[in-house]
Amino acid sequence: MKYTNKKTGLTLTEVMLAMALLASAFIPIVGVMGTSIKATDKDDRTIKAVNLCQEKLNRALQFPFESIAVGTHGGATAKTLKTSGSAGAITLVLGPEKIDGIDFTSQLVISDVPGTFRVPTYDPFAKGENPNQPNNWGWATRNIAYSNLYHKYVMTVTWKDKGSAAVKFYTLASHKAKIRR
Amino acid sequence: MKTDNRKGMALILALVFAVVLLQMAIAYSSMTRASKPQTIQIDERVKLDYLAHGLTELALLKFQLYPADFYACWEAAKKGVPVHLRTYTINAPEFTITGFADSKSSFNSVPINIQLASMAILTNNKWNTEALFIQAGAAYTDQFGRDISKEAVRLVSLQRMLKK
Repeated sequence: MKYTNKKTGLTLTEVMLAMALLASAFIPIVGVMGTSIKATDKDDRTIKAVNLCQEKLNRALQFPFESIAVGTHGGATAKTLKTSGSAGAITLVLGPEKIDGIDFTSQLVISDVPGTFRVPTYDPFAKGENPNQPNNWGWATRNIAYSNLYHKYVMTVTWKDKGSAAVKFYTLASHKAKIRR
Repeated sequence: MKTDNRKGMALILALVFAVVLLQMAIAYSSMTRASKPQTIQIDERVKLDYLAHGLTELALLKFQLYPADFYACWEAAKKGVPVHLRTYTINAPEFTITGFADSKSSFNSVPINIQLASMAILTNNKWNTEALFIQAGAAYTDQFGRDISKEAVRLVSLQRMLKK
């Protein structure tokens, strides 16, 4: 008969203790994973909102100047804007819409940005007399006020994160001038 | 006398394992804090680009309304007097917008400064063509104190005509 060393191997208590240790170590890891999944979903919604806002503002800026009236468009009320031209007509849909199961609301606010141009002007006769001496061209600075020539476009997209009641928003702004294209 | 050297090994292993896990958690946490969220990076690129482009529109409008004055300023600058060109372009108050606050969002709402960087005429003597070069920049300081900026460039083909 062989003698066996009863001290070798692991007792049930040791195994249970080791498992408890491992389990307790995994709790925060699982917690971190859960937080990461939530953060990814949040980022996904934000990126979708940024892209949507960008796409809509791009479309709005393609419309001819003054073809979209100054004021608020979309928001809680759905609104579709279309260019009148037959070839290559542009359509801009504003208001509530569902994209990939997420509810987004878009709103465009156009406002006039009046201002003053500072224009240095010269005297053509003085320039003709002294073509190589720019200091003697009879310079004067004019301040010329303008309005209804430069509009501000503010596009806002709102949405909600999963399991949250708080409304998130993303706004992009740009300007468009009445220039000959 | 024979002793069992493995006594207490489980405790040491468990402690080593716990230390490794703790280090991993600290590393992950510091990485998360150090890296800038992807949404913020996209947001910076997009909003600054739109604003800089918006200012090039105003510069082009001014040029279309007062081209003769721009050409005179440009000619004077070429002949060594750049002050009038600066007055027309970068020093004109309409081309400096400070603290623009309309481009905001739930996660990043900092005021943006927009400034015209330059307006110039590019000439190609071989093909006898001209183009107007407009450059504008938009910038802000983020919540970590870093300066974020973006520039927009616009090139417009020019054709000089004598109007009667």
